[in-house]
Amino acid sequence: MRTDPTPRWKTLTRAGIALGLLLACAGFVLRDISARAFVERDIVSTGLWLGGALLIGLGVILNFRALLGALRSTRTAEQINFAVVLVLALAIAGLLCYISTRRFWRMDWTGAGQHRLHSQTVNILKNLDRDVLAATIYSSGQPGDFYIKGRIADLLEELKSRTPHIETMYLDLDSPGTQQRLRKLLQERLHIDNVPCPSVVFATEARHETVLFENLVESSRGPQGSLNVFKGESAFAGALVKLTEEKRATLYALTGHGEKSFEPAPPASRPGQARGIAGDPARSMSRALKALKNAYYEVKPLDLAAVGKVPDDCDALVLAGPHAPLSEGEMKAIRAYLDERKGAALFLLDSRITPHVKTNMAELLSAYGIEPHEEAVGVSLQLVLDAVGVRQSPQPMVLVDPQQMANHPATKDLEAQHILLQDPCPLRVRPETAPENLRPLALLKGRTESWGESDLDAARKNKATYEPDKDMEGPVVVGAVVEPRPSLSQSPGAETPSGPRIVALGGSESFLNYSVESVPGNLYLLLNCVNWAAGKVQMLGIPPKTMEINVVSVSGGALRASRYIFMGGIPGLIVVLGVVVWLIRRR
Amino acid sequence: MINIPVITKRELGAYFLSPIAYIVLTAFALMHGILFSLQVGPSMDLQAASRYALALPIYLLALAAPALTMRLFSEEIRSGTIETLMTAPVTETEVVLGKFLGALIFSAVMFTPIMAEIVFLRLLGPWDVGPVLSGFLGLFLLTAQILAIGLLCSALSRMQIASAIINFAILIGLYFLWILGRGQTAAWARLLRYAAPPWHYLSFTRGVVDTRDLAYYVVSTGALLFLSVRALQLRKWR
Repeated sequence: MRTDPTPRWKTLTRAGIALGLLLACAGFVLRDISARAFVERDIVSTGLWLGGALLIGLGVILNFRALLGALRSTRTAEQINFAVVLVLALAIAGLLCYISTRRFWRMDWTGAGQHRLHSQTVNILKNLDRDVLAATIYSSGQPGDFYIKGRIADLLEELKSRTPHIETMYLDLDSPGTQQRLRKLLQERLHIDNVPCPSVVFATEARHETVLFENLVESSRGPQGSLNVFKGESAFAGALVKLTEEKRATLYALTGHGEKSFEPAPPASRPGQARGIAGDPARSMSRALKALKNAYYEVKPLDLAAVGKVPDDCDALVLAGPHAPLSEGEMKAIRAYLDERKGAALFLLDSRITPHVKTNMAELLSAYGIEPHEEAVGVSLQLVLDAVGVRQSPQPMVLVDPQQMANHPATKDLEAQHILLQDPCPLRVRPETAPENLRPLALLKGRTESWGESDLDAARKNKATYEPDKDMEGPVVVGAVVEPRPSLSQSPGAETPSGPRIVALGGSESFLNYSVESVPGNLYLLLNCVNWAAGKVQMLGIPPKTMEINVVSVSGGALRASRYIFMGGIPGLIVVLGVVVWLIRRR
Repeated sequence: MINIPVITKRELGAYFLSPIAYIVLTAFALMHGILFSLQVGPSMDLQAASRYALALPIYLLALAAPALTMRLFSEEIRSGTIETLMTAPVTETEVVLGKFLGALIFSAVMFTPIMAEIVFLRLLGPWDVGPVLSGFLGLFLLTAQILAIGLLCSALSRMQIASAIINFAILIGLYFLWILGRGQTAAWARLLRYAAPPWHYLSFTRGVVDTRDLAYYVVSTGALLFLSVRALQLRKWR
């Protein structure tokens, strides 16, 4: 019996089912895209779903009998079985993959830990209790930006792997449609009109912090020569701390005694007092100031003689190399701040090798178990190149020995840093002169061949020699801390007892711009000490990472060898092997 | 599962006795060698060069994998030996896994020139070996996934050429997803990128082993092998 051919319109309705499915899917996709692009397209999405459902429904009704017949055949059953298995397998695979994207961790296999987060960053992320959007705004047309963006993306992925509270967004201004998304972000999330590019903006519901690309990479000179360091981790950790901390920590920098200036411009000083060394950008501490601001500090000048007391909002007092003695009133105010208010202070102590230095810091600090000897200077043997050749010369500078660093939060993770203190005032730690509740500790020492030279003229001329009866025996101490002594009944890991925190470091010259540019380790030491003194333990020791660039010169012979081996030797060997196999098989 | 090594051995024997294997090996070694040698200059970053050597197979695998996998089942189906194989006391799972492992081991041999290049770079100076080890792990996972795609195509097709073309088209499609999603941040772009095998591989070459990438490769390879087993079972019912 001959059956009537299926009318064309009916065949088309079958295609309508597929079209309906396609439209419905398109509705979902469009809605998702619209949501991400901050564009309202709900009407179009709904229209697509309704249109799709209508087409599917009509197709099923008109082809009901044919569909039923097809469903009953064995072949269809097999195909449906396979299709169901396929869908289920894909669904299970998709589910597993989805779960893996929600809970994941990353293992860093690089030797230098290029992609590993510092323990302090991990702590900051653990304590992150609110959602943060990290929006990277860049221009892919700029090759430099694009390279740094890669490093940033990698770091942000690392941060995301540690907390579910970070969401990332990348806005390439060279990409079409980005301007609209950026406008939406600025208006709805950041509530500002503009944002610098290239930068990474960290935003919570209430606040935002911007980290500029230019602050993420720094070129510095280290023991192996000039290299680029990526400071993304410390910058991002700082931004996250700023977003979550309620207020900035305040540092007061004492002025009026010839202290080093944090600002490039000269600080105001009263007539008759020693002026701050300023004006020359290289001889200010503006780089340290910038780093402190990035770590969410506010640095204010303090004229203690005028004010009479250390302000109540002071988190730490900084004495950046005073060259003149403090008045009795100032000494009293500092003692009151440290003893009664359990304050914190950072002393950068200069030796009298610097002209006109004569302070009463020894009087102040010896009460806490630290004796600065400004009539001497820390000296160590350094390799110098002159007309005679390379020789060891006694220089008034001390390279800190990482092996001799105290195991203390202020030196956390600084072992790998090159720390060189210039014209350091040698220190002696005398626990017996400290109050019972305080513990003085030698923080930094030079190498064994360093010593405290008392003949300053000889030290100036790089001709110092160690004389046991006059000089201070090495290794010379150039850094010390005083902290509250934990009581015997205190359990390990318990909160640090309250009390003054004092850090004394030799040589304020070591923290000037020109110094920290060539020896960045000095800046990280300063930051660590300030963080410890101010009680910001979560910010301690996040050193930068060197860029993984290892350029070598390849000789002409090696170049030729590589071409012969890889373009001729190996492929040729395989051809020979193939021919041999072919010949064997032929026999 | 005791039959898997037997099937693997048989497959390896078939590979090394067929001319196509040597053609694929030579073509891969030559193309990789040329591209690598072009990168070697009088002054070069060893870390970047090792990463480059490991990134090249992303593209070359799309050409080599269809040639390696097209005959795995299609040839058996066309010549009728599949019936003999299926009536032997082996399960479909054993057959699929045996053939898959054979292809995987052959691919490992194919990557020997990369190891030679890495040794060459090591002789030029010291550099971090960690990213190379993770790169090889990633390469192993990427190859496994691409071979599993080829295996499924071969199990679904009677003709070798059709299987190779479909496989190549799928791989190109998957690579195209990567290009489409690259640099974009919308959800659809992230989804496209996620589906693309090369995107997951690149972090391995940088020394990062991410569980998301591991899960993607392991799960997708497992799913594809499972589907190959089902495709064989479906053939058995007919």
